Amino acid sequence: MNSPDANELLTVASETLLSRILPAVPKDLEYDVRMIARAMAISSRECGKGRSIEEAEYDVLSGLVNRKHGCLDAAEMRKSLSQAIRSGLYDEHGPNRNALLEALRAITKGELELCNPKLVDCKKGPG
Amino acid sequence: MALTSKGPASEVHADDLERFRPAVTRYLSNKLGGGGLVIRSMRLLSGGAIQENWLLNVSVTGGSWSGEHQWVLRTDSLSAVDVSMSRSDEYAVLNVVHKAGVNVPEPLWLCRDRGIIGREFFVMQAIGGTAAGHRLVRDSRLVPDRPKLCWELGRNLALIHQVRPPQKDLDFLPEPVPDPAMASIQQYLGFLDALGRHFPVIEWGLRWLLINKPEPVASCLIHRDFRTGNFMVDEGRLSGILDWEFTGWGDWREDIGWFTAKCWRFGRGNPEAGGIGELADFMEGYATVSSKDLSSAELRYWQVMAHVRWAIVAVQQSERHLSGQQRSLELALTGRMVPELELEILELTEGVE
Repeated sequence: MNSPDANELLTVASETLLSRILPAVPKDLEYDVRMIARAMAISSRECGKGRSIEEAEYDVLSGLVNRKHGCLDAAEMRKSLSQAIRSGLYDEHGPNRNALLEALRAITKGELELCNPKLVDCKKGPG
Repeated sequence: MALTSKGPASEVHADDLERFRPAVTRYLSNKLGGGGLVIRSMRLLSGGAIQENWLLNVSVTGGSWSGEHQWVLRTDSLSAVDVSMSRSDEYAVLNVVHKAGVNVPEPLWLCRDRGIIGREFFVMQAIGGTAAGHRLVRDSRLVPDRPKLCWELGRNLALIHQVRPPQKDLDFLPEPVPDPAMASIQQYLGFLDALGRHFPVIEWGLRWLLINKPEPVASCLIHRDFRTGNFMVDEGRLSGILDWEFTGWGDWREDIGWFTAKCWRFGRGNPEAGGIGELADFMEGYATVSSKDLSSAELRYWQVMAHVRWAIVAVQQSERHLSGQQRSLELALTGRMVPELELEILELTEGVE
């Protein structure tokens, strides 16, 4: 395994961009530099824990989606779940809907760990 | 029109504008019908990849327009692809809302003749101030009296909503529908189906909107993008409402849901009125024109609608990048905003009937 790894390289590159380059660029490019830093930060987190978050999402979806059609991948399970929601399977209050919402919250929080982690901890929620 | 930045500058150079100076001078001179006119300067304002705004500093000698003027010439950018509303339609909307007393840049002349600058354009009064949302919500020097600004915003939105169909001058707008919420839900489901990917949280948001759909109310003119960032504030006061290209007939509550949605508070969780101030002040201004009640359940419903709409637009914008139609870091990053919008959909719908 290469060291420092992609996560570490992107993190330090993004820090350098913000601390050294940003102050030196013309004002009309500041927004672009900030966007580049944000893209690097997301990519860095994804390199670090993207795989484990993907696996966690797969487990959550598997717990919810009836896999009678064999082994579905995550994209297929998302499709199947979306169809079930649209068909009204979760309209009634009760354990079924609670399980759906708990799963959706867990998946969304996983994605936020990558995209905007500061939102993960400050939100209320059952899970 | 906005004199300060609303976003990244488009790629037009001063020389491109300069070659139109003689033709624009002749056009404006004809419109004034007397007096001499000189364009002292013209420059492209930043912001807007689809439309261009040219700031004109004009001196007029003689006639009723005698004096110095700042006008904005608004036209489609040369690279415009999918224009949502033509400049002549937008001019008509501006005229109608201006006559209704809404604070907007005063529309002056519409030019449909493509012989002047090669495109349709209209000219309006320039307005001062800033529209920068992230500054307006935080910088108290820009907004010393937040209740007053909220009040003005509420009053102006109510004035927009006073415009009722039919309006001869707005006959290009799609006909009002009997149930705007239902129409939106169906439209957004169609958008979702057109994507190659599936989004269970957005799907849940749409299902919740269907189950909880309120009784429709009479349609009125709605702005459809009324939010912090789309109005100018000058010395703490509202100087003009911008970006009318999504305007149409609809449910007045949709505009308030959009305005108060958390995703348009620019990182300020509170206050609810667009991150600017309190909803009570906003509604007090609204009530000076129209006495309408908005229950907390209705507000929540239209805030869910707002987040669902923005989430779908965010996915569509990222698709524009992914498909190669428009390579852009900004569009790509917008796709990564979807989870925070989804979290808000879950927050708003959880535990609610």
